[in-house]
Amino acid sequence: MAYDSQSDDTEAAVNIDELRDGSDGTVARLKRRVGITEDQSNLMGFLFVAPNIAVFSIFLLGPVLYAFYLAFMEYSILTHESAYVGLENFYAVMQPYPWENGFEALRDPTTNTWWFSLRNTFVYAIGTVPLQILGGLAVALMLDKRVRAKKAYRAAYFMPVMLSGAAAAVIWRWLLADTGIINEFLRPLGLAHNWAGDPSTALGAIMLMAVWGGIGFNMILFLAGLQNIPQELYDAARIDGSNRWQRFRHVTWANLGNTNFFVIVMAIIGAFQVFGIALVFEEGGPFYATTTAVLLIYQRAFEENYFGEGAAMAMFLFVIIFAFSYWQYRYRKSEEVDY
Amino acid sequence: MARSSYEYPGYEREGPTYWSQTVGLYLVLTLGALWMTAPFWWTITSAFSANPTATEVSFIPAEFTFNNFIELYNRDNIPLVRWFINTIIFAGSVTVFNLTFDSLAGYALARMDFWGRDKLFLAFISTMMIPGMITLIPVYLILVELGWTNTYQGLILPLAANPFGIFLLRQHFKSLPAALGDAAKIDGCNELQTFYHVYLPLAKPALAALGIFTFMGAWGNFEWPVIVMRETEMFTLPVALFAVRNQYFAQTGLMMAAALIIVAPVIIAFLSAQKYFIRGMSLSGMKG
Amino acid sequence: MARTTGDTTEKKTTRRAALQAAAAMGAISFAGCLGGDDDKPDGDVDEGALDNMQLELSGWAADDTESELVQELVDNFEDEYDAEVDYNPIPSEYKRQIQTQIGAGDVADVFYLDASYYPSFADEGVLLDLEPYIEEDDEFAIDDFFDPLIDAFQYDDGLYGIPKDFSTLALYHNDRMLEDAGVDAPPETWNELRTALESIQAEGEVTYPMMEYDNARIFWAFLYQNGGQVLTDDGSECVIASDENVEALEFLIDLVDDDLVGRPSETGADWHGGAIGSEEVAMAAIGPWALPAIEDGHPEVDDDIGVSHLPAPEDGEQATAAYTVSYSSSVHSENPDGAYTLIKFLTDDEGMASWAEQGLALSARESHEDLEYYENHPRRRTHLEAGEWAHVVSFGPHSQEIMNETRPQLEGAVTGEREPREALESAEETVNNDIL
Repeated sequence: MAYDSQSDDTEAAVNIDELRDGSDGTVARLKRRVGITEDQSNLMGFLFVAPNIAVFSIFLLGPVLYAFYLAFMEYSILTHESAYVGLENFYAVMQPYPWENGFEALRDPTTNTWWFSLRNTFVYAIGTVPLQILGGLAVALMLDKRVRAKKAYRAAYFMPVMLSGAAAAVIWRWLLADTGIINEFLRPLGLAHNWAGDPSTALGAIMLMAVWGGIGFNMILFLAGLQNIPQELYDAARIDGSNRWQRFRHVTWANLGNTNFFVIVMAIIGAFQVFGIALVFEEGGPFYATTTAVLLIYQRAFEENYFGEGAAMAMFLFVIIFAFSYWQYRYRKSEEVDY
Repeated sequence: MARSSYEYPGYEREGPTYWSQTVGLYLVLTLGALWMTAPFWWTITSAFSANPTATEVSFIPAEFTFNNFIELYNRDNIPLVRWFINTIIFAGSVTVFNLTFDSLAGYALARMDFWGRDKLFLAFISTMMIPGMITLIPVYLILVELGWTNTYQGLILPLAANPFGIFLLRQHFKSLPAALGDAAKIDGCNELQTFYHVYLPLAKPALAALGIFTFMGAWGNFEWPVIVMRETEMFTLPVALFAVRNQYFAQTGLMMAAALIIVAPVIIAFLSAQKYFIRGMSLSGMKG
Repeated sequence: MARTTGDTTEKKTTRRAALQAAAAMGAISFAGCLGGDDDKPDGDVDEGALDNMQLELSGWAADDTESELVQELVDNFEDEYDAEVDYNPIPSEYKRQIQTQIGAGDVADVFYLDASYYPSFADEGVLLDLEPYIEEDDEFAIDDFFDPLIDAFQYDDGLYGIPKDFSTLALYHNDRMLEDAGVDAPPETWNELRTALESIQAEGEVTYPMMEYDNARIFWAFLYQNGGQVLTDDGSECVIASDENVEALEFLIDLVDDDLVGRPSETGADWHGGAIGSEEVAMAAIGPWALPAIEDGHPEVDDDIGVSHLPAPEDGEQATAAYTVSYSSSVHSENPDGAYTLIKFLTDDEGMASWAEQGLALSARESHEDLEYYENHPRRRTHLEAGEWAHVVSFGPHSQEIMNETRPQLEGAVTGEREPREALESAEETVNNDIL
């Protein structure tokens, strides 16, 4: 990637700085020679990126603004009319405020379903993210040793990842059914339970499914990161007389820094947006036990047709998630050397 | 492969510690792998069993039969083939669009020179910060206004470009020597030809990885089609599974056969193209 | 959850009128016009509109049986009027789909609307007013319909739907299982019901003697049986947490707690008809729509299944819940005259009788009680008889919101998360504060 800017082979060598600012550099000269003007160059550039710009404007940036606008409106699906309602949607979503009644909303979904769904989402995130990450790391560390049939193991752990969320939820719903096969094994032990139909265990069931499906993903990322750690570092550490734990902490973990951060933030952002598996598993039930924030938005907007309220909830969640995303983005940017 | 971080010169390959650790390692790995794959095994078993109840304990079908698949195919209210086709169209189109748009953009951002190029790249990357869920409602309403709900274009176009793909391809193009492009231009190629004939073929690995990644993601995508598609005829496979699952709750075999149909193509593709899959995944997190 | 859906009808109308004026002047929506402003039909069916009619009929069909029956009727209409009718039942998420279609202006000419959410459609002015047609039509005999059913589809002096049928809840019991358990006759009182269920449970043939949804559907019948009400007579206040109602809910929840009544996730069947048909349960409260499924889908069990009136409390009265669905049309229909003709065909004396004789639901016309069909089908006659003391599960213009508030509370009670009294009181409070 590094070019020898001092070479006098002007046709092959390219001066990076000149290339960057587009002024009298080789390419510029070439272009003049071939007859491409700067305007044409600009035009070509734009044409190449035009489709992407179009898609992003219409289906990404525009909608974010539209969502912001919608949050202040009451939209009717039957007549396509919007009526301005100011902050009413936000009040409706957030009231009664949890601090007003001793955080009862965290125990009882009917007090305020939004806060309850946030609680579910947090519980879900706290329960699944560490397990997914640590599980992925553990498996990656184990597979990083000289293990036979490594490819087979890797494939086995990665299989759940590729599964469609809907299919995974259906399979697990059947496995965990009251009359399902898992209960058949647990019945002799007296541990059989209506996992999916009991409000206190339904969320746990989904979390189990999520960890099952998430370990493989992180495993792959960690494996790639581990491979980048030069063997010499380990050898050096060993020569210095470190034990295994110290080697892990100071060599492995320290060099996984970039991977770690990416994995953690990706996992958190993903956990906050979970919705498909909850919907397919038990449609947010029983009694809102598996209603996550985005699922509630889906229900309010697409099933009950309160689009304004749905948009208000989405804005709320957006702020939370965006904060994480921005943090990740800034971190990556600071790590980027070649921009 | 290089020695693992575990071994070093003089590392003892014998002795009780070694054996107990090794056995422990394999035990844990295998148990974990079993946990990962057992549900698939059960799905396959149930799909090929005649009238299994959910309590079928045996992991081998008592009565092997293709009946479930045949019934799925024959039922009038289950347009299985149509669903399969819908899913192929959806996943395929999204992949094609993504590969095309993202490689064009990636190339332009890496190899072409135009006003605001770097700022634009920054802008594209920043859009990765936007959580997907915020666009569900507004994009849906936009589709409603356009009359594109329940249509292929409404389903596909919002997913036609992906900032991650742009990032991936841009990094890849940047890593290729500029000399090639210069040589092509001297020979009289314009940008498009340079792109198409010179650089694109060299990007095959990245394109393959991105393509597989995108296709598999779109194949299993549930959250978006469930919002856009309304008519049974237009469902994709995951949405169809969701829509009919309650009706056939008691008929495990049918449901597992349906799940298998969704799952099988992905698994087959994965097993045959593991290398590309994994590479695509690794590229997603790493810089450069 | 607290929600301020806010406006009274008046405020909405004014705002809507203002918006409509603005829209007429300035084009808010960029989608383009929805086919122009139709003149309101005057009720005279234009003969020309009946030539080569091409209509679209939509609705839901719980399973293949139902859609086939409707197709038969449609075929008859096609023959009689030499028309083409495209029948497209919507298999899932009916309400959502029909809403989107209406919103887009691209909806079937005739479609179903359940009485529970019909008012919100009528309120937005998207339905075709059938009143002018009825007035001009001498043959239709609108008075022949049961009053509560017609009332359910009136709105603001207009009639926006014709009842296509109705259903009542009755008690289905597997007589063979009852006999095996030593129960001589189907229970007629609440006490007898409990005893019967306990005997069946002791017999051990099924894990759960009876089944009910998480949303406690049977509660809406128990409530009235015990002498309670949902709204006050003038509909201005919600009284769902009255002592009688709490008692009714507690009766049900006690049955659930003792495992005498199972929920779908526990029985493994997703609806009562399936549970009865596959003999997962011995009893269930269900409507006549289950009969075709049982008769055709589970013929071996069919002979054992008897239908009786719901058991009433000792000191209460006979009552049950009723459901009704209308045929309606929208203002976007391109052939309103044709739409009315199809509706009329399906609901006039002959049409209603042929639908009723398919056995899925009950005829909405009072005069049909004497039909020979009901003589020959005692189970359905039981359902029809209950029409006398049935209450339609629909609570005025805010029906949907009220149901949305109470349903989760009932779910909470059934899943054991809330006490019945608590559940009903929260529901009542929220409804009174936010909705009414």
